[in-house]
Amino acid sequence: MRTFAHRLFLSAAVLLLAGAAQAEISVTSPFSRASAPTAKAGAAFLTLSIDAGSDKLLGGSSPVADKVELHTHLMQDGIAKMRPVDGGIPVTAGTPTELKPGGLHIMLIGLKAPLKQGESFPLTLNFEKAGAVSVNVPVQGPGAKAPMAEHDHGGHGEHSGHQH
Amino acid sequence: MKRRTFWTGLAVLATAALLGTVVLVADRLSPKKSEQGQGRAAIGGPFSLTDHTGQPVTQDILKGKISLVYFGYSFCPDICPTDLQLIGQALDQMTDEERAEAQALFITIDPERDTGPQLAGYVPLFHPQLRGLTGTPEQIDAAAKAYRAYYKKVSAEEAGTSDYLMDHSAFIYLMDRNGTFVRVFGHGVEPAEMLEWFRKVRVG
Repeated sequence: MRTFAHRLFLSAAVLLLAGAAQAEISVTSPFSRASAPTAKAGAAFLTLSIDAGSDKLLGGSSPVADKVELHTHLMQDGIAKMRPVDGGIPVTAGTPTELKPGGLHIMLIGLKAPLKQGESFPLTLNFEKAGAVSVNVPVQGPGAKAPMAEHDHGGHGEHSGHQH
Repeated sequence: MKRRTFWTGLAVLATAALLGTVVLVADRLSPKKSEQGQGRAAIGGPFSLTDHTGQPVTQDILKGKISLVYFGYSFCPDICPTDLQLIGQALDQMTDEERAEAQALFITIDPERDTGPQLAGYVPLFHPQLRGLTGTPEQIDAAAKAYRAYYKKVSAEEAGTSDYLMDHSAFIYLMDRNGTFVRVFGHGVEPAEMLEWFRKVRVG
């Protein structure tokens, strides 16, 4: 049985460690869309937040694709233009950065196998300060617009990856 | 006093302009008018393509069906799947009778990647009734021109990516049973809105 002092010591140690480490990045509500059997590309969407300060998502990697790129969509006069994001995606405390259909997204280029609905795949995101953060991305329907977890507010899908 | 007159005048003018616009837009979007073929919006026209099963098709497939037509490409991870899903949802919300009269076409503007087999794996993801159309670059160009659909290849170097991308207009065209253009829906349109217009066209 832990003594009060023991607990206090542990808490203090945790606080110290947390203080010593950089701000914590959370990656929540990740989802992807099912792809065609011969699809060459896919996309992942998620929300990035940070508890203090700021950081920047620079890129990533995943075993399901040759390359992971950060892209965005611009709609100009009804014309859809997809472009890579220059200089990374900033994350600032207080305002979560949403990567969602129609805007910022993580582009999986050179899919090694089709993304099947109901399955999930690992994705590692590289941040300027926090380094690598891994997250598991569930594959939803081919035209899914939002993460499934949204209807499950109780659980709040802690698929979040935390830095170590 | 003068100032007041000026502002009142401006307000009157603005209101008139707004009303005018509303009337014009409403007029343009009226399905009845376009059915009467009063030389409106020359959108649509002949095309010669191949569907995802390898069957050659022309504009004649529009005849007798009320069609939703979309130009896009399967490499598009975001805009196209969203719109195709919305088309699929509109089809799902139809009665069986209505659905039998509906047709959904996905015309690729990226024939280099979107071969028949590629489309055959892609279109059923959204709806069993969605038909994918491809062709030679010239055939695709002609079809896109007929529908005034815009597309442009952006090379990997130009885009700064590892593979080329396509810029493209993201519109859903509603065509009546004669293959005549009725109206266009923008990216992200609600399926209910498509359904409402489909029904207007269906009952004439």
